[in-house]
Amino acid sequence: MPCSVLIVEDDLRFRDSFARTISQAPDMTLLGSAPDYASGLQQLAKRPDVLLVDLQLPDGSGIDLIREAARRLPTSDSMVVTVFGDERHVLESIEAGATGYLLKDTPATELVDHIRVLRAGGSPISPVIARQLLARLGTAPMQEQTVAEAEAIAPLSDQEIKVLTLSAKGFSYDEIAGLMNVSRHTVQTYVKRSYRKLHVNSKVEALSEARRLRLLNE
Amino acid sequence: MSATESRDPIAAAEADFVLGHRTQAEHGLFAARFANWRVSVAGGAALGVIVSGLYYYLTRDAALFGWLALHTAAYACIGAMCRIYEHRRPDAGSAEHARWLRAWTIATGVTGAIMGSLLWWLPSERDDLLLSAAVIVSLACVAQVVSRGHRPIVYAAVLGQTLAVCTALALHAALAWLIPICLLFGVFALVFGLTLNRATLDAIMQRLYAQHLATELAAAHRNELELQRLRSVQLERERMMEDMHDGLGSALLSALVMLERNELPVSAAAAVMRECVDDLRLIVDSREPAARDLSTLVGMLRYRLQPRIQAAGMRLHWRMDDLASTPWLHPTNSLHLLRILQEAVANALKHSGATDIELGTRQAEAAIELTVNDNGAGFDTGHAAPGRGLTTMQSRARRLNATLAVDSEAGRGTTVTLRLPLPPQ
Repeated sequence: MPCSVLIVEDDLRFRDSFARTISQAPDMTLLGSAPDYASGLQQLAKRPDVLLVDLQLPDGSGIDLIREAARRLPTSDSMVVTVFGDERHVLESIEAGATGYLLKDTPATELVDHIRVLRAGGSPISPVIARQLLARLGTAPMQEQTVAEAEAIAPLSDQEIKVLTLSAKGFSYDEIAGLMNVSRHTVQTYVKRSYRKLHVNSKVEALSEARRLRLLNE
Repeated sequence: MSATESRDPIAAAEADFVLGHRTQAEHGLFAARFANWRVSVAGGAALGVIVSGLYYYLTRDAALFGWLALHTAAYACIGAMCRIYEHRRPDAGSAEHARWLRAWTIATGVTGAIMGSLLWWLPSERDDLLLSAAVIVSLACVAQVVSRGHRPIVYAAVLGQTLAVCTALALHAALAWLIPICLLFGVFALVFGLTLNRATLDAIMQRLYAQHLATELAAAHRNELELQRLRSVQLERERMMEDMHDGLGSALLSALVMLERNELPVSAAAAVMRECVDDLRLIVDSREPAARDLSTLVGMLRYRLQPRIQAAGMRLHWRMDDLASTPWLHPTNSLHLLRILQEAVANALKHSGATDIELGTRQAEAAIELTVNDNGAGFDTGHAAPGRGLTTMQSRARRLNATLAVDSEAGRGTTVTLRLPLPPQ
């Protein structure tokens, strides 16, 4: 079954270029392409497998779209499209539920490869994002959490920590696979799982934060 | 050193403040005293009732009722004045306020005299002991006005009463010997009143000064914060200018000029744009807080360069020691470092014709060594190597306080080593 893709990008040239590339891939169908948040949100009803989304949309934030997709379509994958792949934007997207990111100047052939890897359960990572993930997920739980919340916080497994630590030092997936005696694909799934954990944990943290604020207001 | 120079500036500022705020402090003192005028007026009137009642009990002289009527009327007047003043609330320092002060000064002098005149109302044939007691009571009563707070009022109260008592004593020849004591008491009351007045004024002045200092301190603090903010904005701007100036600015401008003259083919223009985007990414990475860690910083460079190395058909080998943490690595230094390494890799891609390229970091005793090594053609380091940007790399290394060694020989590849000394502990 081909994988269906929705593109939400306000820049016409990038949108067309992505759309053309995806239409030409034999194993993918272009479900739609939207220039802004409103029509992007509307087209989520078509239930895409993959959402390609720019963060700065004229009428809203791509982050909200990613969050909505994660809530309504838990089996879908969101991929954020960025110019620099800088940590803040990517990390916020991962917290909202994105499992991949794409640099805007990624060549057409690689774009399709990235989507395939994502659907197969793998995610891309850069050293800076790896270091940030370690910093965010390697810390002790917050004090105000209830026991239930603390249990809901998913700690990183040893394997995941190892993958992230090596990534943070600039090792590539193939090199990490060699060092850990596992397949490249396994390494990619470890990364994707740690993205999911950051997403889950940030939801728990948001709940806990909301509860704390409510307590303070009472 | 002259006397003015040695003057403590803080003490001088305080003295200036005191000079400039004396009137304000006096107004403050007056306002504080005035706030409970009802108690003072009622207390003064009640004192008249008690004293005259006491003497009536002793002498059964109806003339004392006349004195009490006079005394009560005087206090009623003062009370009425206070009430009107309170209602009108003239500004401290205004002409109207000054008139009120004069009125009170006269009124206080008059009530003092009335209090002192008690002796006149007593029958002169009464025995001396009683009269002596009346004098003492009259003198003591002056104490109730000495702290009125306004200096002329203090003078008036003491003078009025002392004069009245002394004239009465002069009329009672047998008690004339009390006159010096009475005068002495007057002087004492005056000194006591003025001292009390001074002390209260000082306290008020100190409170004013403390408020003034607190306001100044808050203002100074705000100024300091604003200055700090401006300084950091300025510093950030300078850094950004430096970052942009070296690469992006000149590359874009020269490409633009050539494009406008139709001297730049599209492929070359694309190459310039590509370089600019790459350089922008280096700037972004160098400013990334998580990349203060050197291995992550160099890791980012590898991550950025990997696609190009692959596209050139070369194999990249990554050798990464565990490095000491580098909290001293600031964004501008990070950027120099990234640009040096990027240039070295770009040289290997462009000129070496190598099949393998190795990027490595090594933790040495007092330095971190970063190497870019290829197995390509190499070149003669003894001759100028145009187009390799070696001069720029050297100058960047100097700004980093690092040393750059280029080791190459025709046919034996090239090794570029950047040696970054660790700061002394």
